[in-house]
Amino acid sequence: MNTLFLAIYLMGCGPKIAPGPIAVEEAEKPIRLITLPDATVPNVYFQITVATGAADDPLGKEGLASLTAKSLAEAGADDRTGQQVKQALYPTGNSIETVVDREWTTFRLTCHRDQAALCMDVIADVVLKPRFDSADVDRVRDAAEYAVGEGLLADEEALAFEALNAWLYEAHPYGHPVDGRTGVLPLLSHTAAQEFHKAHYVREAMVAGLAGNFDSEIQSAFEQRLLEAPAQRKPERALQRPLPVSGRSLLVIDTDTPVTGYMFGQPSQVDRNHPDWPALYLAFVALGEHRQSHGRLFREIRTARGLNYGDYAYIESYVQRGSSAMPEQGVLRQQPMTYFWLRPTGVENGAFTLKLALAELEDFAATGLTSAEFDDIRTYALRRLPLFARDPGRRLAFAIEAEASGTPNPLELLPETLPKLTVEQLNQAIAKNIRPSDLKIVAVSGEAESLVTQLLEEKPTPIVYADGIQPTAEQAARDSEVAARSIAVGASNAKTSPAEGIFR
Amino acid sequence: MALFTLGLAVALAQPAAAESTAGVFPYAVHSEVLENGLTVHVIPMPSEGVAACYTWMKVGSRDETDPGRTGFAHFFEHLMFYGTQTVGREAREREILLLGADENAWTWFDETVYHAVLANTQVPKYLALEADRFQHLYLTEEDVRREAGAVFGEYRKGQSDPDSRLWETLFANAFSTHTYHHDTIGFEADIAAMPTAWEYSQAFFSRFYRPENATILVVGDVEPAEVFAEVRKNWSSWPTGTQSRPALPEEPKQTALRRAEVLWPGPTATRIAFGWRIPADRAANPEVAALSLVAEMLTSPVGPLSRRLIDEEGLAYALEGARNPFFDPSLLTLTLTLKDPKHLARAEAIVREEVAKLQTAVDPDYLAQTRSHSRYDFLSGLDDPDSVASAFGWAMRRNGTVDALDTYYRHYDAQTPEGVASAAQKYLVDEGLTVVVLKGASEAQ
Repeated sequence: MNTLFLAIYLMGCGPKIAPGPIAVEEAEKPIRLITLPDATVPNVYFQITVATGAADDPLGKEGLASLTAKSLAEAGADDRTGQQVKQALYPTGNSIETVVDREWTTFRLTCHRDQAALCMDVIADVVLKPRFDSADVDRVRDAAEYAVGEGLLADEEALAFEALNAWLYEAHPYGHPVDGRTGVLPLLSHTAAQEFHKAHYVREAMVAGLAGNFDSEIQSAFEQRLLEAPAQRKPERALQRPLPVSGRSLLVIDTDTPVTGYMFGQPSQVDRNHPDWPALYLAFVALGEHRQSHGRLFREIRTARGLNYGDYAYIESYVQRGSSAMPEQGVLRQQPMTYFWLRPTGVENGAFTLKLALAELEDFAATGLTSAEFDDIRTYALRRLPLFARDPGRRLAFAIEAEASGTPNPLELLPETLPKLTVEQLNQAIAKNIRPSDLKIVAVSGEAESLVTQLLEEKPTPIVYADGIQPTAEQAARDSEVAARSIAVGASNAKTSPAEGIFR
Repeated sequence: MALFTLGLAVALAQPAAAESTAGVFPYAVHSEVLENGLTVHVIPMPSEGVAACYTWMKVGSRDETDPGRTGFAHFFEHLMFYGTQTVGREAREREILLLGADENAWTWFDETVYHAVLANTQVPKYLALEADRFQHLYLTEEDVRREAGAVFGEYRKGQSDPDSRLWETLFANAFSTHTYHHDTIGFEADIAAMPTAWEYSQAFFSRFYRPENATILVVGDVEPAEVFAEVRKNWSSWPTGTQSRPALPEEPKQTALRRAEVLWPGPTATRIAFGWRIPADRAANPEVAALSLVAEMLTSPVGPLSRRLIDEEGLAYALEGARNPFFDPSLLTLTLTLKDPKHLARAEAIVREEVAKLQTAVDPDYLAQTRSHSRYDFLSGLDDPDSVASAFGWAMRRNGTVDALDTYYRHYDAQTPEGVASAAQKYLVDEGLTVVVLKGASEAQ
């Protein structure tokens, strides 16, 4: 490690790429291949997961991991140009799906069994023999610039997520959008992507999988192709803990639409290997599972008061897989964050909605669940688990994630642990791990200045109900009490930012 | 509410080998119609103990003909979660929770769809809960007022998305009279009036939520006989409706190119959307299959249009489009997100050149690849109960017959290069075209 790298390491500012190849015995082992055969389904599912992602972006080259990954299917492989790769797959009705996150990069291809041999060859070529044709790489880079610049501006909820992520992981390898920064993306070249591929797409870093209706011929051919990955050690990656969050602070991003939405959270020590994870998983399901209406936040904010469209809580970074509410795999982090999402409300209720969510969170952390609530939510969580893995491709994705990350597969861990959990243990885990007093709060608002004023002034910010809604006396009393609360953010811990150029 | 664009209409058929044109749908379909008019389809398939239950209602924003009531079908979808006097909202929430169901609903032009994915052991209980709310929904004035706020939230979210605005403006300009003129979410003024719509919501329920407008689909690891018995037990008492469906205003024939512009308040990429008027989605019409191929050949990533706009000239970030398969005549759409607003004229010229080429001569090899792509795209998507139910239900709503997929794919496979070119000549004309441009703030002066 040279001096420069050492300095960066000590600052916790960036990952390192140990230059390969370092041929060692372990690295020469074949790529781990997980198989889940199922002859009752029409498809074959291929997946290759590589232990690399945006956390490996060199300082000043943010976006390189993503550019590399997305160029694989776009910028040519072996004797095919990018256009020829697409043409080869086009008659099969499918294309390669690439998921890049902070620590992992995943390639998936689903094919009808008629097309399995061709699909296997193409996914192997793409991951193992990419060409990085420069014009195609430039096009992928332009698309990333658009996504992280204007694309995020057109999606305020995604903007809030990225802003919270960047703030919680300041000076940390997770702390920039996976697509990169608009200021540095133009500097990334096809040769940089080529070098990144050479260093990171090595045998030791890969786990592959095959599920569904495949035969032994396909499996052996796939195994054979996977041996083409270089027998190298994967580069080291230093991940220091993100800075702890102490107290509350507020960032309001000024946008153009007359609504106010929030993302807020804190770094968490509870990863899937942590003994509290199953209990905390259940706690977050009770608080607000993604796009489900039974969570406490949803019930109080949307159901009881009609303030917005939905309110959710996350034990770890969550990406929705496709259009369903089910989770994506391959976005797991060694250093998770827990966070909360309040979808947009009218600007007139912006301040109240945040106060209500914080009040609910404080009550939840203080009192936990009743025994009856615990029984209900546990029954729900256990019955719901099979839905996360309703086709062989999804089951494979969970299995690969567990194998690659060295964490338990939730589909196996939760059915083992939740039936033994008691409400006391759950409430202890909540009290220990959910800290409502230590939060970074990101708001996106069309009336940023007024929101900051309202939130910092120690004056009530009453709820404005839609015409004709009369809350019950109990709810009205709660509303008054919540409206008079302080969000406990000092003026020195509050700032505003224009949306434009936020990830330069 | 989900809004999505389908590239290809799908329908259903008798079970047969996937390779066979005669029966592309790989699962057996068991059907029954109750005396009150309720249709039930059960599709067993291997799914590791998971099942999908859908209630597909023939009511959508297409049926919103009453003045000041745009967006009501979608609003009503929200109200359907308020429960009954037997099982109130909170009790229903708890019941659904204990089933472990992934439950939701969506509304679009032609339908409102209630769906759940859950363990097959919980299907009987779920069907009983559904039967209760579809027959005995109980709403207070307070419920209606409260839910209106959530719908306003959804409206706000859509208004902050340039692509939603582009789509909404395209249909608003392409249809002057037919109800496809207004987006499913509704006009802002009508959404603002929803809190006081309690009486109207009672009338809406009574008119549209009737067994003859409903289709129940149950897909997955289930026994058809058991499902039919459960449905008969709980749904037979639902009385058939007595009111007719609204008479929809007929859209006059378009006679000239229409253009419109959206000025976006913030910075965003310039977008251009094209919408050509096309016939209703019916499998029996061979032109429908031809126009699906036209849409796919124009927008696929390996087609000449994509190659020129994205790969060679680098004018656009994205090219998307579809033959939008709606119950009534709709649009074949094509949307470009441009890298630079100054390329607007050039991009439009390329679109027009490629449309003209398709009208003149269709490459037989590309046609064969496109046909294969669409078939396998459809087949490989049928791997979980939710996807199967969704594809099947979509086709049922439009065709009402279980052999629609056979018909559709028969026409699809019979398309010649000349037939595809001829459909493009007939429908991709300026007299049926609406073009909308969306410009970001910095370009809008």
